[in-house]
Amino acid sequence: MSILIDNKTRVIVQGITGEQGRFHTGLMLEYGTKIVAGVTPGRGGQMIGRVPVFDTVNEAMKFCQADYSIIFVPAKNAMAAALEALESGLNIVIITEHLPIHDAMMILEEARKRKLTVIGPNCPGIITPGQCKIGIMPSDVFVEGSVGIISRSGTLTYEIADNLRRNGIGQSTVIGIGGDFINGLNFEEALSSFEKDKKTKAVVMIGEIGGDAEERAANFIKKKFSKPVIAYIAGKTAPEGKTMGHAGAIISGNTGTYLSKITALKKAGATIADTPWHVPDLLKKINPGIK
Amino acid sequence: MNLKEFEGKELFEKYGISVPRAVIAGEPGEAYKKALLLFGKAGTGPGSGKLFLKAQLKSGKRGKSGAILECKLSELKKTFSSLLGKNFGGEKVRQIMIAEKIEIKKEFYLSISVDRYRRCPVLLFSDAGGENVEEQIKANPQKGHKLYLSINGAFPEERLQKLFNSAGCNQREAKETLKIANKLFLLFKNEDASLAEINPLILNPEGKFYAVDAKVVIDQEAIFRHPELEKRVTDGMSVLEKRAGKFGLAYVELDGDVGIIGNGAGLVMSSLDMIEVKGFRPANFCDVGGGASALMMEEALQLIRTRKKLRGLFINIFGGITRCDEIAEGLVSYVKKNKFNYPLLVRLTGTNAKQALKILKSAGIKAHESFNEAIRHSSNFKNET
Repeated sequence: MSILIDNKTRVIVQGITGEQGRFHTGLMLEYGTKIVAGVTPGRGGQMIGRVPVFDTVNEAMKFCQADYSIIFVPAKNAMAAALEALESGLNIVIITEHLPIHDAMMILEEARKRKLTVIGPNCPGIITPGQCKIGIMPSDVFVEGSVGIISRSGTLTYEIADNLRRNGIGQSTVIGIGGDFINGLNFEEALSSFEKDKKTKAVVMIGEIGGDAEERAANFIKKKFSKPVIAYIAGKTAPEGKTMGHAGAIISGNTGTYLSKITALKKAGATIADTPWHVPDLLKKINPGIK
Repeated sequence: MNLKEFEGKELFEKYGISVPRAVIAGEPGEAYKKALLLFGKAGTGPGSGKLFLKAQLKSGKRGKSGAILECKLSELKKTFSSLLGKNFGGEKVRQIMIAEKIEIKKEFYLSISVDRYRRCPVLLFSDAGGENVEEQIKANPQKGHKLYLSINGAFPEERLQKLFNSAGCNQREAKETLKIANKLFLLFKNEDASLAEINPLILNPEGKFYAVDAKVVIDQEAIFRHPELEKRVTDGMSVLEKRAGKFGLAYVELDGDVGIIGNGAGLVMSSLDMIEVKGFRPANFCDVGGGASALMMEEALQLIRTRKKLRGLFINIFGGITRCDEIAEGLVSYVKKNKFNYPLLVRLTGTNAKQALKILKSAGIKAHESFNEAIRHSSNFKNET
């Protein structure tokens, strides 16, 4: 089992004729993802490999049903693309970087109304190893297993998943929720899905400074999450008031600090990893047989 | 992008929110002339006849730090000169606003910002306006009245009017505040603001409301919809940070003595943290992002190297969309042209790492595959001065 996506998930790619869209469609197909159609306005009728391209999501959906859309559309047009997908009833993964905050709010309000899932923006996507990848992450660092990963950082996810793989530990599902000021699926929602998933035996949470998503996740862990959680938080030494590469990674006054996050997580019973490479050992300490 | 008070007030006026009469000046003679023209010899009419001199800065808390002074027109030049050029938290005073003083009957706080958790706009209102409003609300949460708004739906007029009533406004005041809130929300939406704050919102004895201060933050990512602001984006950035932006790199200056280059914000932050555990302090960092080319890597190296007296440079790449061979080529090409008089600590893994390690080896550059191992070798930095 897994959460959100599996080998039956059918996917549309929006922005499929762009350089990124085309390249990653190839890699996702290679991984085994069921990509059923692509969308680029004005490019309907073309083929990208074996994938037919349509002008609109609506037309694509008439041709074939789908569950998710992955959006590679540049920031200026990403909101229109996302709303189009939501109106067709699709869950979405927004890879696009530099999406304006107001556009993100519009998308997320629409998704909330329709009870659809949004992952991202500015994220690497989601992968259920061995079954389905809707994203841009390097496939070979992820292997099938029983640890769920939720993360605000792309490369740090690869780093930690790779460390797990080298220690014989695989993943049930890995979600990059994105590094923007606001994002769709959050830690709590992902945790609540992992709680219900029988295959997931433990969760690794990769957070960073800025905002209070980790503190809220801690609160959720305390009340409603029964599985072990290992947390790694980046930005221990980040100074106040500097945007640390991610739009959302900024300490403002006393909020968003490393200390506040690890204190809350520790109190909730999570184990804190001081370095990315301590995560496998900590998992094995809690559950020696974990794979 | 934090707007200065006068820029925020320009937006307030555009949306019909009243602000006190004011002029902006950069030197005392100009200040006096403009103030005389606007206010006349008697000062500001009803009230004390005093003026406010307000340093135009991007940082807040100006009242506490002495960036806002009070004086009569006759003392204007002297007071102006005492404020001009002063340094507040690294920001130098170049422009000063001379504003009329509004008499206070009641003081309020009104803002619209983005709630990160609920992913929607949030209105915050309090009858405790002024400098300490945040602390007051924190200590006394019922002082802060909150309402979450729909970015796309109708403005909840009835609920807001009730909110203003229960926050200590009488019927007429609540009605007026509602009008102002409506305008502020329009501004928030149309201008892509992440914060639009009026603090204080003052009601004078004649029953008129004034936005006495303005704090507006515009979302940098939405500048393509506001070309008039394009030039201001780089305000307050250093020359190097501006240059990095042109190349699609994120460059940040810090105060230590080890340079750091990495791909992805999380991995870069983690690299800074791990370097500090080893007893060093990062001097600056450059995030080359996803899919960096050899040329971008060279530019990143150039940016880091502008900092003098480094003890070392740590390069940490986990190739996903980023190809390690591109990074290696950029590094080798740069090292051939430029000398580093401190150690380079290189860690490369992921996409095309094998080719990358070969490229580096042939140029005599040692590289590690594991983050942990690389960090252990950071002790090399110590030997240099």
